[in-house]
Amino acid sequence: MSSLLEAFLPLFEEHGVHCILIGGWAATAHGSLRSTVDIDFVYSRSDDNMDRLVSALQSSHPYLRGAPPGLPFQFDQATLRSGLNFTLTTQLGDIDLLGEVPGGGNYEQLLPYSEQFQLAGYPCQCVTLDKLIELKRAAGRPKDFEAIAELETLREERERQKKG
Amino acid sequence: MSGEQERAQEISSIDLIIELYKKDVDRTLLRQNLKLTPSQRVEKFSEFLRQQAAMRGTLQKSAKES
Repeated sequence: MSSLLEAFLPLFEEHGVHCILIGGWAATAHGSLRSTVDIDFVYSRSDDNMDRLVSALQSSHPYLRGAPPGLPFQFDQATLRSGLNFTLTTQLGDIDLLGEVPGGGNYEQLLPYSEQFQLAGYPCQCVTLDKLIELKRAAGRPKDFEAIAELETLREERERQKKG
Repeated sequence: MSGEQERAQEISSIDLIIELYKKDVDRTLLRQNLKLTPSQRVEKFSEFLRQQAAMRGTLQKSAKES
């Protein structure tokens, strides 16, 4: 069984999808010890990239997470263009595809606040720790408060290590 | 109270809550994790998830058999 990151990154790499890892898996890459059940990406909404995203995910049969079965949902270019943020379930696991996030904006606005990591053997653009904290704070969800506390502690510890 | 003052108050109360949660964060484990590369951290977490899934599978199997 592969993790969500191991499942999706090869597809994105193969199809040349431009996206930025945020959320719990980004926190893990930065050193968080908290668990997460889905994976979150901010994706570029350029026409070409949305085409690539559809191609990358189509074989995993994305469907609206939490929606009743049997709806005429199709994960295609038209659906992606007419929406913005999608919470999906796929045969590979749950994935959130976000066109914009509070505190971070869209892909192009978030890109300067990201760094490239090699994760699960693939290059992955990952939001910086500072920006991740900003995103979590901007979301303002009580369930994130513990996560923010851990991320801010992580930042303090990282600074302490740098100083030496 | 103006909207801005209310917002400032809201932010400071959230900060207070976050500071309270920080007291429960295990810094020792974080320091250990910071010694790893991002790739190693992800691999470690992926391995944990695999073990968790395997354990869940074993428990479900034994529950069916009993």
